[in-house]
Amino acid sequence: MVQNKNKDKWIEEVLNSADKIRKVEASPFIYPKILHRLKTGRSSNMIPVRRAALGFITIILLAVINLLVIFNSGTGNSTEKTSVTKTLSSTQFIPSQYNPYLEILNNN
Amino acid sequence: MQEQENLIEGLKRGDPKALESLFSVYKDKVYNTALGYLQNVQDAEELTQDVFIEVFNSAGKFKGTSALSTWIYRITINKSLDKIKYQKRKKRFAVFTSIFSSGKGETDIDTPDRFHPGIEAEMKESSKLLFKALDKLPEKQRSAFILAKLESLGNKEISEVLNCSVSAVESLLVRAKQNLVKELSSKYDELH
Repeated sequence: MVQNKNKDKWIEEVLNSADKIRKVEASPFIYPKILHRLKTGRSSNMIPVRRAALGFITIILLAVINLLVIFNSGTGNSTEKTSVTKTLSSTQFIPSQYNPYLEILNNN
Repeated sequence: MQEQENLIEGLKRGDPKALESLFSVYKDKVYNTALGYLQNVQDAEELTQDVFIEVFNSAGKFKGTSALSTWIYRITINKSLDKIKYQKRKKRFAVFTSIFSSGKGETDIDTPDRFHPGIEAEMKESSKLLFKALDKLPEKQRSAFILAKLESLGNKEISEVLNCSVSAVESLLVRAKQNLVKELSSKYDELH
């Protein structure tokens, strides 16, 4: 109960801290900077094209590597499976086909 | 109203005096809103520059259907949210950019320290927690909360800025508070 009261009080205090934030004045040096930027035509802080291109190439490269790995491991597995199946069938160790009761009946 | 029209006309003509008048009237509104979102002096100053450059360059697009202040607030909010997204992306891809950076001494991994100059020393910790919780709110709830609490705008003004009804603003503020309480509640459990 006390714990909950403390918690509610704490939350209320944190929420009320927004009311105590006072407004601040903008620096007078911002205006000359705006004029300078308008004169020089410098754009805002955006992602450079070169960096965006690098990011895009990286994603494509990662996708290609992933696909290669998936396809290679896929074919590797199937070969492995085939060889295992072959071995099992040649030695008649396939559990689904091996029925010991049927074998006893056949022998009798 | 006439003053607003004169300002816009001046901006459309590319008159630097119009820009100066506009700056003196709206600089603090833009700067404080930007600070509410970014909590960093340098970022807020840069964003203030971006906003006035955008207003100056696209004054021709202003149709006058809303108040000039509403239009400027909208630009400030959109730019602030874009900057936050950009900073988050930058942080996420910090490892990649550090690999690909050409060694010009750029420190992309650095994220700016959060500091709001309007916060008094004894409220610093509480405000820090509040801003952290605010970061987790959906964009519209966060904007409604910042405009209401930090900019002291009324619900009608907020509805014009956010382009929604007054009742929608009321609902946004209620949900914002509920989500903040939820977020702070788990933070309390974590700390105590």
